[in-house]
Amino acid sequence: MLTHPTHDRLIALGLTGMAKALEDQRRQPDITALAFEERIAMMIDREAIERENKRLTTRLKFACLRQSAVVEDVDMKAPRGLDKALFQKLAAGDWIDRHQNLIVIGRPASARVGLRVRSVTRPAETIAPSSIRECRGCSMPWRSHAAMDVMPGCSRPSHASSF
Amino acid sequence: MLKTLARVELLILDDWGLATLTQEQGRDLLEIVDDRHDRGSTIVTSQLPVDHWHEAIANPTVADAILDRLVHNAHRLTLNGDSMRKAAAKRSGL
Repeated sequence: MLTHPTHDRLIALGLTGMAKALEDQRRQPDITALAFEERIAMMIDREAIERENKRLTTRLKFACLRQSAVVEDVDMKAPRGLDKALFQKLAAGDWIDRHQNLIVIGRPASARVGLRVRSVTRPAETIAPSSIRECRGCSMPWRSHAAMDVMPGCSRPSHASSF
Repeated sequence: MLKTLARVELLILDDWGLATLTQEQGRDLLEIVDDRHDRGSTIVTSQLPVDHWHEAIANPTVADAILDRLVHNAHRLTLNGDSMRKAAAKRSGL
């Protein structure tokens, strides 16, 4: 496929996420079923997500954390007297914005790890997480405007028919 | 180094209180904690209950100053569970 001039301009502007999304959309004949706003929103979402992922990678590299634990994986059933309400509140990370501190007291490695890692990484909450869902076909995050499980223009052939 | 430590959004002091901080170490830590006060967040993880933290810093005046900045605006999470490393070792048949 010939490269589209718009694609090249996006690359030149440093908008690689949008460029990739544009390419994906061009490969999908049924993409025209979507309104202009929806298609542009998909491109912008892709750019935002790619940027956030890049930032996350940089931050993780800088933090040099040895464990790759995340707060979602914390086993709340493990008997360690964890205050669930407080834990959920802390997991939201607002205390970091308020420049507060956190003291974690416990036996060595008694799952002190998960909470810390999440605090450092802080996923892309700025882009309204409620509307971001993962495509069932290709696991790509996208913003859904309707009750669809598969991203319009999903490049997985097996899912092309479901749209 | 000190500048970086002062600037990061979230600093983690892991396994606090394993060894007593010397005069010099205490002063360095005070400088970091003071720079970060109200500008960044700090997580302190420790096996020691907070009441014993004072003893882990050689100079009591410095200890007061550090703890004042670290503890007073801190959330506290206490975990009683067994070591996760021990549990993981058990699972892998050790």
